[in-house]
Amino acid sequence: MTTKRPPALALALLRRVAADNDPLVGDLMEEFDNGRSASWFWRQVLTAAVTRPLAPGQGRDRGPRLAINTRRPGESAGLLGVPPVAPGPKPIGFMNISSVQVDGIGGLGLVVAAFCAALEFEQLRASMLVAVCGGVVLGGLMILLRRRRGPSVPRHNDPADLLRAALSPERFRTHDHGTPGRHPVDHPPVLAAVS
Amino acid sequence: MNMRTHLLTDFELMILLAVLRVGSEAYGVPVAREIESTGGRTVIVSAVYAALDRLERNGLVTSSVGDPTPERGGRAKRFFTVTPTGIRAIKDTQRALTALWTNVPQLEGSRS
Repeated sequence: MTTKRPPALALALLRRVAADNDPLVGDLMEEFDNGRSASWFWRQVLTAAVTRPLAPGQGRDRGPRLAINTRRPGESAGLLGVPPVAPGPKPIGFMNISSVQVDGIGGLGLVVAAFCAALEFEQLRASMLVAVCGGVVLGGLMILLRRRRGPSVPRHNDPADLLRAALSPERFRTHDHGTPGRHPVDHPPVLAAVS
Repeated sequence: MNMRTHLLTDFELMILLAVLRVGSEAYGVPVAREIESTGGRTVIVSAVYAALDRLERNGLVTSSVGDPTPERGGRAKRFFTVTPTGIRAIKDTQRALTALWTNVPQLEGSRS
């Protein structure tokens, strides 16, 4: 008995995104073997890639970015290492909402996967073109907004900002008392960091 | 004191009912097929697994891993069973929906 092989690229992507979910990989291969189309397989894989990391408690921990605390108020003691007095419902924990994270792929990998899918399926090309144009317009708007906002003040605890300030001091203001969360600087930024 | 009722979303309800209908062979593929054929909606298999994982964390289903088979590339099946808590959640949801259904003039006579 011969088994039908799913699209190699989709299968490789599925193995990456569902590395710890063998039953899902097996189910999709079984369904494909039972006569499902390549576009069905691609749709399943891409949806799995996009939606899976949104489930709390799954996906690689890449450190805190923008996060919301989904614990209940009474459970906050657990954050300090002290267990809650009464065992309440299981806390959901922190859920990263700053970006879509896909295990082992990342944003660029998703773009490449979408591009490859568009190469394979003609009906996806229009959507891909719209997405690319939207991305270019959004990027341009962000650059314009950044330029209009003008130079910023380096953050003392950010080595990248300090390096930028040392290389091109004209990009940074020397006085800024009005921006919340930023430190006023009365002397050159690099000196401010060491003083 | 009232016991806390667990109300299910429509997708969770469909999945639990599909697991019950499929019986002892309830793993991802037959559950998804059952929802597609009986429930009349297209199903993404990974969404079924995500919902089943959530239901298992809440104690509404349990799972066990079966034997690998060649047509699955040597991968094992994960079989699901609805727990008594899950059965109670289904009944609670049905009761709540039925209560909402009654005494709505727009819906009277619409049930076949």
